[in-house]
Amino acid sequence: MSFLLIGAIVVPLVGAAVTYLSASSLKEKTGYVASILSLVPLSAILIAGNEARSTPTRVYTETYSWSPIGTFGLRVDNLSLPILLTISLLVALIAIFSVPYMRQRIGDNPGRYALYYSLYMLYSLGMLGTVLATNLIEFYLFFEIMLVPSFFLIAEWGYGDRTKISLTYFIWTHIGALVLLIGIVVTGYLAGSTDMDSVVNNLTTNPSLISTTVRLAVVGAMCFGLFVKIAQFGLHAWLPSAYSEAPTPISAVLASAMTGIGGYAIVRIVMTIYPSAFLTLSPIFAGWALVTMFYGAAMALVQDDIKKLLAYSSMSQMGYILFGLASFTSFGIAGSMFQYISNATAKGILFIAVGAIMLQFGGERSMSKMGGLAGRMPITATAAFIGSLALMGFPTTNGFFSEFLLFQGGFIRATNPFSGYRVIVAVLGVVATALTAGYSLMALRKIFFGPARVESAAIKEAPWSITLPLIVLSIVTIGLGLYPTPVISRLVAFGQSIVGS
Amino acid sequence: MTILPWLIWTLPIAGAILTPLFAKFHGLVRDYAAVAFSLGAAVAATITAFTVASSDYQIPWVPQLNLNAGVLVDPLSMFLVNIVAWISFLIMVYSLQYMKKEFGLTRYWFFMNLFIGNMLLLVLADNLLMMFFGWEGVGLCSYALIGHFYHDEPEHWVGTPGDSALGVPQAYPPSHAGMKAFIMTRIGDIALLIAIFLIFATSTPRTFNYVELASQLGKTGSWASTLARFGLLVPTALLFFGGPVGKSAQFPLQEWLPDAMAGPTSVSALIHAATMVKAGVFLVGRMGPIFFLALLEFNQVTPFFGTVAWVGAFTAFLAATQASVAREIKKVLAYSTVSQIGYMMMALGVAGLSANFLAGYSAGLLQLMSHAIFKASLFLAAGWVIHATESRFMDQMGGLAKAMRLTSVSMLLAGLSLMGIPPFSGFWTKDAILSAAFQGSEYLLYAIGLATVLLTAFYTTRMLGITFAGKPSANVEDLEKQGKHVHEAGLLMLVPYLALAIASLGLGLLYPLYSGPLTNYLMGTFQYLTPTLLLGANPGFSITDAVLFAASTGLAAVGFAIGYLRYFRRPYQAPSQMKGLVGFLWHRWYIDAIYYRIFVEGLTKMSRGLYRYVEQGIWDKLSPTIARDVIDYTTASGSLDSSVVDRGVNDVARAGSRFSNLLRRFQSGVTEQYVITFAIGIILLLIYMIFVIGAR
Repeated sequence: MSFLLIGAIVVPLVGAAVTYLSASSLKEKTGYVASILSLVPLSAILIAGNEARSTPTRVYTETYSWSPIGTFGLRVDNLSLPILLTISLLVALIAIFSVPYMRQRIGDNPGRYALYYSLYMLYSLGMLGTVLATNLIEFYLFFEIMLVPSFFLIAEWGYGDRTKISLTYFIWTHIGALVLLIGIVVTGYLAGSTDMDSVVNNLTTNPSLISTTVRLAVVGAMCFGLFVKIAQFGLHAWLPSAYSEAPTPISAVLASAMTGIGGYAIVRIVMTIYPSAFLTLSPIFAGWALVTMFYGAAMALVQDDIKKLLAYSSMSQMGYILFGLASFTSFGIAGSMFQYISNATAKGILFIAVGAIMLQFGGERSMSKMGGLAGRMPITATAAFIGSLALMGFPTTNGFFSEFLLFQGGFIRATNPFSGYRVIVAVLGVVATALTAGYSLMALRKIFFGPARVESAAIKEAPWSITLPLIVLSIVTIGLGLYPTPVISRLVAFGQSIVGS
Repeated sequence: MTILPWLIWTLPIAGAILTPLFAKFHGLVRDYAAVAFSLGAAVAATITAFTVASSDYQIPWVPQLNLNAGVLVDPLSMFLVNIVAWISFLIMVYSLQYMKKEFGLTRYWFFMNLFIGNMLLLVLADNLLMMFFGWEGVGLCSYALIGHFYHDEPEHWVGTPGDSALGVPQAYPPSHAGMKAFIMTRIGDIALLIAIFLIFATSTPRTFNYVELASQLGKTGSWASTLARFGLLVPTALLFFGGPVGKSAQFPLQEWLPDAMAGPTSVSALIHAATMVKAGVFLVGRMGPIFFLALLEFNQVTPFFGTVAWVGAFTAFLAATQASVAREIKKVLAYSTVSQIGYMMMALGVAGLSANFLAGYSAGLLQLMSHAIFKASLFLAAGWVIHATESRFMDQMGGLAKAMRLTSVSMLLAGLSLMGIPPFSGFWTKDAILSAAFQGSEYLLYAIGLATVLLTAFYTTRMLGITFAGKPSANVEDLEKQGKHVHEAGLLMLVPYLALAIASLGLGLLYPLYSGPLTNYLMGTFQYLTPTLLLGANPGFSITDAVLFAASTGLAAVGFAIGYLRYFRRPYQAPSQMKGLVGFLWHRWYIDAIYYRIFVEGLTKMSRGLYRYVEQGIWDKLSPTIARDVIDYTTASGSLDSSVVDRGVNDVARAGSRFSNLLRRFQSGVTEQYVITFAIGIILLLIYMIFVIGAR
């Protein structure tokens, strides 16, 4: 019995204290401490992933007694491993990016740095815990822990009407979480356990525990709750303002690492426990996802504020994730979870790049005031370009394979057996990618091309603390775009375990 | 020797990746290394064609998708890679001198080699997915290279400044033109992707591999029969054709290509002659026979191949009319490319419609070869002319024949080939297409093709006349006064285009010798198809052929004569106003403007409306309402005020008492609401624990 994964949870917790204490002497450089501390969970997860390889089921689990609720388990398997690695890598990189950015935002106040980085560490703890959790109550607790620090981070260092915006964010997501909790409680009550594995076991051996109607209702409630998190159309009102007005490092974490966890939870909880009920409702979800994809992209098309554009783009990308899941095929599920990764790297790149530009432009976010920056900031421009290509699902970026898989899932569902509705939905889904190309290329052109503006004469390339995260994420983007097999093999295997091969 | 076919496309890509590295040493190292890598690809292509057996050379890639990375060596791919690689190499040599003083050269060489590598990749790939990598890769490179001068200086724009149609400006900066090319071709790519999805989803076992897809045909439960059962076979084929329509700039997606002239001329040459637009023709050539057999099984050949043929024929005519009034020399050539590719598409369509598949098929591919050669020559020469006269407008050139004799000869030779004058290669291949249409009883297509011959001869003569004949324009005389004498190109530029022009003549002279063997060689492409394609016997030279030769040559002569009388014998004056028919043609039949109106403006307006009335009108109102209620509530309870909160935090921080800082957070009003809602969650959990777990 090793303590690998509990370490991945405890270290950020201890890290919150460490960063809090060290900020008085280190000030903004506390970010480096946070980054190094974040490498601990990353390594723990890597080791756990390696342990999992040697088991026949490819699962590595740590369980701790958690009487009377059940067991407090932490699990690395085919599904959670890629997600966890993405989160911990992003957390480590964005901590570095926070150094120059929060320096400008906070100035010279050690107390504020202490608060920022300890909240940041707690935030990362929440995300990792959510993904590691094996128990429904445990999941819920981590899900809430994820919400609290992010709320404070927006409320304290956000832009604009940050109090109102952070409250909007909080209320929406929290209501979503509560509805999810109702589903969890009902499931736990009826299935006689809140450990996910036992729930699945109990329901397999005795399907009559929960009637079909109740299953549909529970799936409906859980999905409603999680759809708030992944900002599906109608439940998205919190997202644009929260993403655009949060301090940019936090926008980066929100948009890349956190939001998609809702999609992960749909696979991990809803689809695993209630596959057939999910399948029954999936045509509705597919249509809903489609609306989100188009709506988010259309909104992105008309923004001049670059962060708002990215916010709506994230909404659209979350539609892709649900789209793949709604196909209920192994390719669709694998594609969606891969999409989580490629969206995470792409949005990470783009928000960091935007942060780099904002730093130089004194916080300017209006694209029409930029232009011709490609020559001034070649590394930032190249990285932003790669990120946009991934967003567009362009080959040689990870975005291609993720989108390819999830759309392929849609078409497989549509043709086997044949469903006219599903064919139309799948076709429209692919069509939506044209809008992504439209807004991405337009934004790139406005920011980086065209005549160099007078104000941009003084613009220089960003410091290494910004370019390093950009370069690392770009390498991951292209690396997985060329050889996605390590990710795809795991995710497809997991998808098959849900839907059958 | 299985590494050789892989080297063909990996060498230029390696060259691209190494370019920034070489740039660290010296500009010249970078330039010559780039050219060397493209030469390596060409040499590898030729050696492969002669020494490597036709086969599928694979390595594992993504087993979950039943996907191997593979290079398919067969007559079609070998035929194309040799054309692509060698012409690309000549363009690279030309670039050495042509691009010398431009900015962003590292970027230029990077994308040029990447462009070539991706084109070779898409030709060599043995499956649809890997092909799509190259396919999108060329799209990206064209975007980057068309927008090379991304600072959008006025001299790099395309179109006449101030010109507009239906309120849409008709002059575009490079960064816009690049984006236009990317998005427009991507629309076609989306259709192509949908077709790939459908084919993969219905194939059993699921595969992207051409050979496996072909071998599944004719069996029960094949992808073709499944798609046919759903009524999706013809739609799938047509959607697949959407990709080539976009890439090869065919109607209705032809509008990006004329504006792609904003890039450096060497880039235009690469796009038009060797890469990009040929990709579409290749893909129809690759999948055409497979679709033919698939459709034949269910008697649905005509809708698909009829569409291909008619799209091609209509585009050929459409673009030729536009070339007849263009003012920029590169635009004449651009329209001409669209038109010539239309011929190729028409040939490939006719292949499926007529009894003799091979006749149309080989005609289309041979036209691709001869066009690649003469169009590369024309573009490279035009590049020098533009460079020397410092203008892209033909009416600012004039009388250049004296100053640049060899360039004018080169353009004349290549131009004659474009016109289809015997014995140039363009004559034979264009005639093969027309003859295939006629022999296949597609008389209407034949007539359109013939009318286009007349137009082609006319616009080519017009271009040559305005540029090289008559007296030098005011612009040229001004340059002389400034001491900038218009002179002949340097050897590194001259040799590539002159060599290509001479090759165009030589290939024409030798055509009767090699056309038969080459056609037989290309037939080898069908070897993996079962049942084998219906191949009509080659009827040999007949009296019909002679009549067809005479008809097309005669019309070319008429076009030439009209052009000669108007533009060689009389000085050219650019019309001040574009009215009537000329205006209609000048504004590209208003298709471009209508697209902007409908798609760009329409979409923007719709999105704006959605944003204003739905997003801001409903959703944005909803959440502040909630938030405001919460804030009102907490303000009323006297605890929330963001300035109070901030001051509190700062005071605490200053006092150095960090822990109470956190505590204060929890006592402040913002959190009050949070605590209430969070409490609901806790209470729910408690209820659960007490009543459910406790009761157990």
